[in-house]
Amino acid sequence: MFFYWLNHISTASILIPCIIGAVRYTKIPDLYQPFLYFIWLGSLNELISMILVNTQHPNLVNSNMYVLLEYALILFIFFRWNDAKNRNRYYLLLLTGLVIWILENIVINSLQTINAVFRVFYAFIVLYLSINQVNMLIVSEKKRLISNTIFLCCLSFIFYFSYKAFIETFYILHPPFSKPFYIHLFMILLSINFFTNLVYAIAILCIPTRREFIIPC
Amino acid sequence: MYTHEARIYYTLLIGAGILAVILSFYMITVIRQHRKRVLSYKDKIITEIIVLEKERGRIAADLHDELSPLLSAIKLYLGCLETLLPEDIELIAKMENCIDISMQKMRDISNNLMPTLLQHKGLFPAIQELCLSVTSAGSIKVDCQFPEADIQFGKEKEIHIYRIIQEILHNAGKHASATKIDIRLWVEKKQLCLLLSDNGIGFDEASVTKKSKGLGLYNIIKRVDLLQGSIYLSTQPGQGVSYSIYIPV
Repeated sequence: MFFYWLNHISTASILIPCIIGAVRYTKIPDLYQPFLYFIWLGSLNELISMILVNTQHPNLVNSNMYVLLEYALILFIFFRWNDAKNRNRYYLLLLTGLVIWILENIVINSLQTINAVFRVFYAFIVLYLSINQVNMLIVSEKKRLISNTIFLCCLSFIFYFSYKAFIETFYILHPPFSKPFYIHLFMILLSINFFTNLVYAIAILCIPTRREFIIPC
Repeated sequence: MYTHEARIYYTLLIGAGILAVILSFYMITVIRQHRKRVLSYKDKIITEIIVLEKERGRIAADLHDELSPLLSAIKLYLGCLETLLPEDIELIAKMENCIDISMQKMRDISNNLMPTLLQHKGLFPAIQELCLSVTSAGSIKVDCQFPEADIQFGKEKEIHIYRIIQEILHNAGKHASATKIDIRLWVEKKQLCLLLSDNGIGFDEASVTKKSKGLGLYNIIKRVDLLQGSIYLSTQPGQGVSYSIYIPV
Protein backbone atom coordinates (compact mmCIF):
# COMPACT_ATOMS: atom_id res chain seq x y z
CA MET A 1 0.00 0.00 0.00
CA PHE A 2 2.85 2.35 0.95
CA PHE A 3 4.57 1.59 -2.37
CA TYR A 4 1.33 2.32 -4.21
CA TRP A 5 0.98 5.77 -2.64
CA LEU A 6 4.66 6.59 -2.94
CA ASN A 7 4.56 5.66 -6.61
CA HIS A 8 1.56 7.88 -7.24
CA ILE A 9 2.90 10.84 -5.25
CA SER A 10 6.31 10.58 -6.92
CA THR A 11 4.73 10.35 -10.38
CA ALA A 12 2.33 13.22 -9.73
CA SER A 13 5.10 15.45 -8.34
CA ILE A 14 6.36 16.04 -11.90
CA LEU A 15 3.22 18.11 -12.40
CA ILE A 16 4.55 20.82 -10.06
CA PRO A 17 7.55 21.85 -12.25
CA CYS A 18 5.46 21.06 -15.31
CA ILE A 19 2.76 23.62 -14.41
CA ILE A 20 5.23 26.24 -13.14
CA GLY A 21 7.18 25.79 -16.39
CA ALA A 22 4.04 26.26 -18.50
CA VAL A 23 3.17 29.46 -16.63
CA ARG A 24 6.69 30.89 -16.93
CA TYR A 25 7.52 29.63 -20.45
CA THR A 26 7.04 32.91 -22.32
CA LYS A 27 8.83 34.97 -19.68
CA ILE A 28 12.15 33.12 -19.59
CA PRO A 29 15.23 33.34 -21.86
CA ASP A 30 15.41 30.69 -24.58
CA LEU A 31 18.53 29.29 -22.89
CA TYR A 32 16.29 27.59 -20.32
CA GLN A 33 13.52 26.46 -22.64
CA PRO A 34 15.07 23.02 -23.44
CA PHE A 35 14.93 22.28 -19.72
CA LEU A 36 11.18 22.87 -19.77
CA TYR A 37 10.89 20.53 -22.78
CA PHE A 38 12.73 17.94 -20.68
CA ILE A 39 10.20 18.36 -17.85
CA TRP A 40 7.26 18.15 -20.23
CA LEU A 41 8.69 15.10 -21.95
CA GLY A 42 9.05 13.43 -18.54
CA SER A 43 5.44 14.28 -17.68
CA LEU A 44 4.22 12.93 -21.00
CA ASN A 45 6.07 9.66 -20.43
CA GLU A 46 4.68 9.37 -16.90
CA LEU A 47 1.18 9.94 -18.27
CA ILE A 48 1.58 7.34 -21.03
CA SER A 49 3.07 4.86 -18.54
CA MET A 50 0.21 5.44 -16.10
CA ILE A 51 -2.41 4.87 -18.81
CA LEU A 52 -0.65 1.72 -20.03
CA VAL A 53 -0.20 0.27 -16.54
CA ASN A 54 -3.81 1.03 -15.59
CA THR A 55 -5.02 -0.70 -18.76
CA GLN A 56 -2.89 -3.76 -17.95
CA HIS A 57 -0.32 -3.08 -20.69
CA PRO A 58 3.47 -3.06 -20.24
CA ASN A 59 5.13 0.34 -20.37
CA LEU A 60 8.52 -0.93 -21.51
CA VAL A 61 8.30 0.24 -25.14
CA ASN A 62 7.57 3.85 -24.30
CA SER A 63 10.11 3.80 -21.42
CA ASN A 64 12.88 2.47 -23.68
CA MET A 65 12.10 5.12 -26.29
CA TYR A 66 11.75 7.81 -23.65
CA VAL A 67 15.26 7.25 -22.25
CA LEU A 68 16.77 7.86 -25.68
CA LEU A 69 14.79 11.07 -26.16
CA GLU A 70 15.61 12.18 -22.63
CA TYR A 71 19.31 11.53 -23.23
CA ALA A 72 19.28 13.59 -26.45
CA LEU A 73 17.39 16.40 -24.72
CA ILE A 74 19.76 16.45 -21.74
CA LEU A 75 22.71 16.67 -24.12
CA PHE A 76 20.97 19.58 -25.86
CA ILE A 77 20.34 21.27 -22.49
CA PHE A 78 24.02 21.11 -21.57
CA PHE A 79 25.01 22.18 -25.08
CA ARG A 80 22.87 25.33 -24.70
CA TRP A 81 24.00 25.99 -21.14
CA ASN A 82 27.59 26.01 -22.40
CA ASP A 83 26.80 28.65 -25.03
CA ALA A 84 26.80 26.07 -27.84
CA LYS A 85 30.52 25.41 -27.43
CA ASN A 86 32.23 22.02 -28.11
CA ARG A 87 29.58 20.94 -30.62
CA ASN A 88 31.62 17.88 -31.63
CA ARG A 89 31.77 16.57 -28.08
CA TYR A 90 27.95 16.51 -27.89
CA TYR A 91 27.64 14.91 -31.32
CA LEU A 92 30.07 12.22 -30.24
CA LEU A 93 28.16 11.58 -27.00
CA LEU A 94 24.86 11.47 -28.89
CA LEU A 95 26.25 9.11 -31.51
CA THR A 96 27.76 6.79 -28.89
CA GLY A 97 24.49 6.73 -26.97
CA LEU A 98 22.53 6.06 -30.14
CA VAL A 99 24.79 3.13 -31.08
CA ILE A 100 24.46 1.61 -27.59
CA TRP A 101 20.69 2.09 -27.63
CA ILE A 102 20.28 0.50 -31.08
CA LEU A 103 22.54 -2.42 -30.16
CA GLU A 104 20.70 -3.05 -26.90
CA ASN A 105 17.11 -2.31 -27.93
CA ILE A 106 17.06 -3.60 -31.49
CA VAL A 107 20.02 -5.88 -32.24
CA ILE A 108 20.57 -7.78 -28.95
CA ASN A 109 17.23 -7.39 -27.15
CA SER A 110 13.94 -5.81 -28.10
CA LEU A 111 11.94 -2.77 -27.01
CA GLN A 112 9.71 -5.05 -24.91
CA THR A 113 12.51 -5.98 -22.48
CA ILE A 114 14.20 -4.13 -19.62
CA ASN A 115 17.35 -2.72 -21.24
CA ALA A 116 19.57 -1.28 -18.57
CA VAL A 117 23.00 -0.93 -20.24
CA PHE A 118 22.02 2.24 -22.07
CA ARG A 119 20.43 3.62 -18.88
CA VAL A 120 23.63 3.09 -16.92
CA PHE A 121 25.67 4.62 -19.75
CA TYR A 122 23.54 7.73 -20.02
CA ALA A 123 23.30 8.16 -16.25
CA PHE A 124 27.11 8.30 -16.14
CA ILE A 125 27.22 10.78 -19.03
CA VAL A 126 24.69 13.04 -17.29
CA LEU A 127 26.72 12.78 -14.08
CA TYR A 128 29.88 13.74 -15.93
CA LEU A 129 28.20 16.72 -17.62
CA SER A 130 26.58 17.87 -14.36
CA ILE A 131 29.80 17.74 -12.34
CA ASN A 132 31.60 19.56 -15.15
CA GLN A 133 28.88 22.22 -15.21
CA VAL A 134 29.00 22.71 -11.42
CA ASN A 135 32.77 23.19 -11.64
CA MET A 136 32.32 25.79 -14.37
CA LEU A 137 29.69 27.62 -12.32
CA ILE A 138 32.05 27.84 -9.36
CA VAL A 139 34.45 29.75 -11.62
CA SER A 140 32.04 31.96 -13.56
CA GLU A 141 29.05 32.67 -11.33
CA LYS A 142 29.22 35.83 -9.25
CA LYS A 143 25.79 35.71 -7.67
CA ARG A 144 24.34 33.25 -5.12
CA LEU A 145 24.85 29.68 -6.32
CA ILE A 146 21.93 28.31 -4.33
CA SER A 147 19.42 30.29 -6.39
CA ASN A 148 21.08 29.53 -9.71
CA THR A 149 18.81 27.45 -11.94
CA ILE A 150 21.64 25.60 -13.66
CA PHE A 151 23.27 24.74 -10.34
CA LEU A 152 19.99 23.43 -8.89
CA CYS A 153 19.31 21.34 -11.98
CA CYS A 154 22.84 19.87 -11.92
CA LEU A 155 22.43 19.14 -8.22
CA SER A 156 19.22 17.21 -8.94
CA PHE A 157 20.83 15.40 -11.86
CA ILE A 158 23.75 14.34 -9.68
CA PHE A 159 21.52 12.92 -6.94
CA TYR A 160 19.00 11.29 -9.26
CA PHE A 161 21.35 9.79 -11.82
CA SER A 162 23.84 8.52 -9.20
CA TYR A 163 21.14 6.35 -7.74
CA LYS A 164 19.69 5.59 -11.17
CA ALA A 165 23.07 4.24 -12.35
CA PHE A 166 23.34 2.20 -9.17
CA ILE A 167 19.86 0.66 -9.40
CA GLU A 168 20.12 -0.11 -13.11
CA THR A 169 23.20 -2.27 -12.53
CA PHE A 170 20.89 -4.71 -10.70
CA TYR A 171 18.93 -5.08 -13.93
CA ILE A 172 22.14 -5.75 -15.87
CA LEU A 173 23.57 -8.33 -13.46
CA HIS A 174 20.21 -9.86 -12.45
CA PRO A 175 21.26 -10.98 -8.94
CA PRO A 176 18.80 -13.60 -7.64
CA PHE A 177 16.70 -11.43 -5.37
CA SER A 178 12.98 -11.59 -4.83
CA LYS A 179 10.47 -9.14 -6.28
CA PRO A 180 9.87 -7.36 -2.91
CA PHE A 181 13.60 -6.65 -2.75
CA TYR A 182 13.48 -4.89 -6.11
CA ILE A 183 10.33 -3.03 -5.05
CA HIS A 184 12.17 -1.74 -1.98
CA LEU A 185 15.10 -0.63 -4.15
CA PHE A 186 12.67 1.08 -6.48
CA MET A 187 11.00 2.87 -3.54
CA ILE A 188 14.25 4.72 -2.82
CA LEU A 189 14.35 5.84 -6.46
CA LEU A 190 10.76 7.08 -6.15
CA SER A 191 11.67 9.10 -3.06
CA ILE A 192 14.68 10.63 -4.86
CA ASN A 193 12.45 11.30 -7.86
CA PHE A 194 10.00 13.19 -5.64
CA PHE A 195 12.81 15.26 -4.11
CA THR A 196 14.27 15.90 -7.59
CA ASN A 197 10.94 17.13 -8.95
CA LEU A 198 10.64 19.59 -6.08
CA VAL A 199 14.14 20.92 -6.80
CA TYR A 200 13.21 21.21 -10.51
CA ALA A 201 10.19 23.30 -9.48
CA ILE A 202 12.41 25.61 -7.39
CA ALA A 203 14.92 25.77 -10.25
CA ILE A 204 12.20 26.87 -12.68
CA LEU A 205 11.05 29.52 -10.22
CA CYS A 206 14.64 30.78 -10.05
CA ILE A 207 14.95 31.23 -13.83
CA PRO A 208 15.62 34.93 -14.43
CA THR A 209 13.41 36.76 -16.91
CA ARG A 210 16.49 37.96 -18.76
CA ARG A 211 19.94 36.54 -19.08
CA GLU A 212 22.54 38.63 -17.30
CA PHE A 213 25.73 39.55 -19.10
CA ILE A 214 28.78 38.14 -17.35
CA ILE A 215 32.45 37.88 -18.09
CA PRO A 216 34.09 35.18 -15.94
CA CYS A 217 36.11 36.78 -13.16
CA MET B 1 11.54 -9.88 1.24
CA TYR B 2 13.63 -12.71 2.78
CA THR B 3 15.80 -12.15 5.88
CA HIS B 4 19.11 -12.36 4.02
CA GLU B 5 17.73 -9.98 1.38
CA ALA B 6 16.58 -7.57 4.06
CA ARG B 7 20.12 -7.55 5.44
CA ILE B 8 21.55 -6.80 1.98
CA TYR B 9 18.85 -4.21 1.39
CA TYR B 10 19.60 -2.36 4.64
CA THR B 11 23.32 -2.52 3.89
CA LEU B 12 22.64 -0.98 0.48
CA LEU B 13 20.33 1.57 2.06
CA ILE B 14 22.99 2.62 4.55
CA GLY B 15 25.56 2.72 1.74
CA ALA B 16 23.30 4.89 -0.40
CA GLY B 17 22.57 7.10 2.61
CA ILE B 18 26.28 7.58 3.30
CA LEU B 19 26.85 8.42 -0.37
CA ALA B 20 23.98 10.93 -0.25
CA VAL B 21 25.47 12.53 2.87
CA ILE B 22 28.91 12.73 1.19
CA LEU B 23 27.33 14.27 -1.93
CA SER B 24 25.38 16.76 0.19
CA PHE B 25 28.51 17.64 2.12
CA TYR B 26 30.36 18.14 -1.18
CA MET B 27 27.61 20.44 -2.47
CA ILE B 28 27.52 22.47 0.76
CA THR B 29 31.30 22.82 0.57
CA VAL B 30 31.02 23.95 -3.06
CA ILE B 31 28.42 26.60 -2.11
CA ARG B 32 30.48 27.83 0.85
CA GLN B 33 33.71 27.98 -1.14
CA HIS B 34 31.90 29.78 -3.94
CA ARG B 35 30.52 32.33 -1.47
CA LYS B 36 34.05 32.93 -0.13
CA ARG B 37 35.37 33.29 -3.66
CA VAL B 38 32.67 35.81 -4.60
CA LEU B 39 33.43 37.83 -1.46
CA SER B 40 37.15 37.86 -2.22
CA TYR B 41 36.37 38.86 -5.82
CA LYS B 42 34.26 41.76 -4.53
CA ASP B 43 37.01 42.81 -2.12
CA LYS B 44 39.47 42.70 -5.01
CA ILE B 45 37.38 44.90 -7.29
CA ILE B 46 36.59 47.32 -4.46
CA THR B 47 40.31 47.72 -3.78
CA GLU B 48 41.13 48.02 -7.50
CA ILE B 49 38.47 50.65 -8.13
CA ILE B 50 39.16 52.64 -4.96
CA VAL B 51 42.87 52.76 -5.83
CA LEU B 52 42.00 53.77 -9.40
CA GLU B 53 39.64 56.54 -8.30
CA LYS B 54 42.10 57.83 -5.68
CA GLU B 55 44.86 57.94 -8.25
CA ARG B 56 42.62 59.71 -10.76
CA GLY B 57 41.63 62.25 -8.12
CA ARG B 58 45.27 62.82 -7.18
CA ILE B 59 46.37 63.33 -10.79
CA ALA B 60 43.41 65.68 -11.43
CA ALA B 61 44.25 67.68 -8.30
CA ASP B 62 47.96 67.83 -9.21
CA LEU B 63 47.15 69.01 -12.71
CA HIS B 64 44.81 71.65 -11.38
CA ASP B 65 46.86 72.84 -8.41
CA GLU B 66 50.43 72.45 -9.59
CA LEU B 67 50.52 72.80 -13.35
CA SER B 68 47.74 75.32 -13.87
CA PRO B 69 49.34 78.14 -11.79
CA LEU B 70 52.66 77.54 -13.54
CA LEU B 71 51.09 77.92 -16.96
CA SER B 72 49.27 81.06 -15.79
CA ALA B 73 52.57 82.44 -14.52
CA ILE B 74 54.26 81.74 -17.87
CA LYS B 75 51.45 83.58 -19.64
CA LEU B 76 51.80 86.49 -17.22
CA TYR B 77 55.57 86.72 -17.77
CA LEU B 78 55.08 86.61 -21.53
CA GLY B 79 52.71 89.58 -21.20
CA CYS B 80 55.44 91.47 -19.39
CA LEU B 81 57.85 91.13 -22.28
CA GLU B 82 58.34 94.40 -24.15
CA THR B 83 59.43 94.20 -27.72
CA LEU B 84 58.92 96.28 -30.84
CA LEU B 85 59.97 93.68 -33.35
CA PRO B 86 56.87 92.43 -35.24
CA GLU B 87 58.33 88.88 -35.45
CA ASP B 88 58.68 88.76 -31.64
CA ILE B 89 55.17 90.15 -31.10
CA GLU B 90 53.79 87.45 -33.40
CA LEU B 91 55.85 84.79 -31.61
CA ILE B 92 54.59 85.92 -28.19
CA ALA B 93 50.99 85.82 -29.43
CA LYS B 94 51.54 82.29 -30.72
CA MET B 95 53.04 81.23 -27.38
CA GLU B 96 50.12 82.75 -25.47
CA ASN B 97 47.73 80.90 -27.74
CA CYS B 98 49.59 77.64 -27.12
CA ILE B 99 49.41 78.24 -23.36
CA ASP B 100 45.65 78.88 -23.61
CA ILE B 101 45.17 75.63 -25.53
CA SER B 102 47.35 73.77 -23.00
CA MET B 103 45.31 75.15 -20.10
CA GLN B 104 42.06 74.20 -21.79
CA LYS B 105 43.36 70.68 -22.54
CA MET B 106 44.55 70.35 -18.97
CA ARG B 107 41.16 71.41 -17.64
CA ASP B 108 39.52 68.82 -19.92
CA ILE B 109 41.87 66.06 -18.76
CA SER B 110 41.41 67.07 -15.14
CA ASN B 111 37.64 67.15 -15.55
CA ASN B 112 37.70 63.81 -17.28
CA LEU B 113 39.73 62.30 -14.45
CA MET B 114 37.55 63.76 -11.70
CA PRO B 115 34.51 65.71 -12.90
CA THR B 116 34.07 68.80 -10.77
CA LEU B 117 30.39 69.07 -11.67
CA LEU B 118 29.82 65.58 -10.29
CA GLN B 119 31.50 66.54 -7.04
CA HIS B 120 29.68 69.83 -6.66
CA LYS B 121 26.29 69.47 -8.34
CA GLY B 122 25.59 65.73 -8.45
CA LEU B 123 25.08 62.97 -10.98
CA PHE B 124 22.49 64.28 -13.44
CA PRO B 125 24.17 67.64 -14.24
CA ALA B 126 27.51 65.83 -14.62
CA ILE B 127 26.03 63.32 -17.08
CA GLN B 128 24.29 66.16 -18.90
CA GLU B 129 27.63 67.89 -19.27
CA LEU B 130 29.31 64.68 -20.38
CA CYS B 131 26.66 64.15 -23.06
CA LEU B 132 27.04 67.75 -24.24
CA SER B 133 30.83 67.44 -24.43
CA VAL B 134 30.59 64.19 -26.44
CA THR B 135 28.02 65.75 -28.79
CA SER B 136 30.05 68.92 -29.22
CA ALA B 137 33.22 66.89 -29.89
CA GLY B 138 31.81 65.92 -33.27
CA SER B 139 30.57 62.70 -34.73
CA ILE B 140 28.19 61.37 -32.03
CA LYS B 141 24.83 62.81 -31.07
CA VAL B 142 23.94 61.92 -27.51
CA ASP B 143 20.34 62.21 -26.41
CA CYS B 144 19.78 61.84 -22.67
CA GLN B 145 16.67 61.86 -20.53
CA PHE B 146 16.61 62.03 -16.73
CA PRO B 147 13.94 62.29 -14.06
CA GLU B 148 13.10 65.90 -13.29
CA ALA B 149 13.58 65.54 -9.55
CA ASP B 150 17.14 65.73 -8.30
CA ILE B 151 17.92 62.36 -6.73
CA GLN B 152 20.99 61.79 -4.60
CA PHE B 153 22.60 58.36 -4.72
CA GLY B 154 25.63 58.99 -2.53
CA LYS B 155 29.02 60.23 -3.70
CA GLU B 156 30.59 56.79 -4.22
CA LYS B 157 27.66 55.36 -6.11
CA GLU B 158 27.43 58.46 -8.29
CA ILE B 159 31.05 58.24 -9.36
CA HIS B 160 30.60 54.58 -10.38
CA ILE B 161 27.41 55.32 -12.33
CA TYR B 162 29.15 58.24 -14.01
CA ARG B 163 32.14 56.07 -14.94
CA ILE B 164 29.87 53.37 -16.37
CA ILE B 165 28.19 55.89 -18.66
CA GLN B 166 31.56 57.45 -19.52
CA GLU B 167 32.98 54.03 -20.46
CA ILE B 168 29.95 53.12 -22.56
CA LEU B 169 30.11 56.45 -24.42
CA HIS B 170 33.83 55.94 -24.93
CA ASN B 171 33.25 52.41 -26.30
CA ALA B 172 30.47 53.59 -28.59
CA GLY B 173 32.71 56.27 -30.07
CA LYS B 174 35.95 54.33 -30.25
CA HIS B 175 34.93 50.77 -31.09
CA ALA B 176 31.31 50.83 -32.27
CA SER B 177 31.50 53.74 -34.74
CA ALA B 178 28.14 54.90 -33.45
CA THR B 179 26.59 58.18 -34.60
CA LYS B 180 23.70 58.29 -32.13
CA ILE B 181 23.44 57.26 -28.49
CA ASP B 182 20.29 57.34 -26.38
CA ILE B 183 20.53 57.45 -22.60
CA ARG B 184 17.49 56.97 -20.38
CA LEU B 185 17.70 57.11 -16.61
CA TRP B 186 14.84 56.55 -14.22
CA VAL B 187 14.17 55.22 -10.75
CA GLU B 188 11.68 52.40 -10.35
CA LYS B 189 11.04 49.95 -7.52
CA LYS B 190 14.03 51.19 -5.51
CA GLN B 191 16.29 50.66 -8.51
CA LEU B 192 18.14 53.06 -10.73
CA CYS B 193 17.38 51.90 -14.27
CA LEU B 194 19.86 52.91 -16.89
CA LEU B 195 19.22 52.20 -20.54
CA LEU B 196 21.88 53.06 -23.09
CA SER B 197 21.63 52.18 -26.75
CA ASP B 198 23.73 53.08 -29.76
CA ASN B 199 23.42 52.58 -33.49
CA GLY B 200 26.98 51.31 -33.94
CA ILE B 201 28.37 48.13 -35.45
CA GLY B 202 27.53 45.97 -32.41
CA PHE B 203 29.48 42.83 -31.57
CA ASP B 204 29.18 39.12 -31.02
CA GLU B 205 28.34 38.71 -27.33
CA ALA B 206 29.56 35.11 -27.16
CA SER B 207 33.00 35.91 -28.55
CA VAL B 208 33.47 38.80 -26.11
CA THR B 209 32.43 36.56 -23.20
CA LYS B 210 34.83 33.89 -24.42
CA LYS B 211 37.74 36.35 -24.61
CA SER B 212 36.89 37.32 -21.01
CA LYS B 213 38.25 40.83 -21.17
CA GLY B 214 38.18 43.74 -23.52
CA LEU B 215 36.43 46.80 -24.84
CA GLY B 216 36.20 48.30 -21.37
CA LEU B 217 33.27 45.96 -20.78
CA TYR B 218 35.18 44.30 -17.99
CA ASN B 219 35.43 47.64 -16.16
CA ILE B 220 31.72 48.30 -16.64
CA ILE B 221 30.81 44.88 -15.28
CA LYS B 222 33.20 45.32 -12.35
CA ARG B 223 31.50 48.57 -11.37
CA VAL B 224 28.03 47.06 -11.77
CA ASP B 225 29.11 44.14 -9.56
CA LEU B 226 30.47 46.57 -7.03
CA LEU B 227 27.11 48.35 -6.91
CA GLN B 228 25.39 44.94 -6.57
CA GLY B 229 23.48 45.66 -9.73
CA SER B 230 22.77 43.65 -12.84
CA ILE B 231 23.63 44.28 -16.46
CA TYR B 232 21.86 42.98 -19.54
CA LEU B 233 23.21 43.34 -23.02
CA SER B 234 21.43 43.10 -26.30
CA THR B 235 23.66 43.17 -29.32
CA GLN B 236 24.39 41.55 -32.63
CA PRO B 237 26.96 42.39 -35.27
CA GLY B 238 25.63 45.32 -37.29
CA GLN B 239 22.72 46.05 -34.97
CA GLY B 240 24.14 48.34 -32.31
CA VAL B 241 24.38 47.68 -28.60
CA SER B 242 21.75 48.16 -25.94
CA TYR B 243 22.79 48.10 -22.29
CA SER B 244 20.20 47.77 -19.51
CA ILE B 245 21.67 48.33 -16.09
CA TYR B 246 19.78 48.09 -12.81
CA ILE B 247 21.36 49.38 -9.62
CA PRO B 248 19.71 49.21 -6.21
CA VAL B 249 19.42 52.66 -4.61
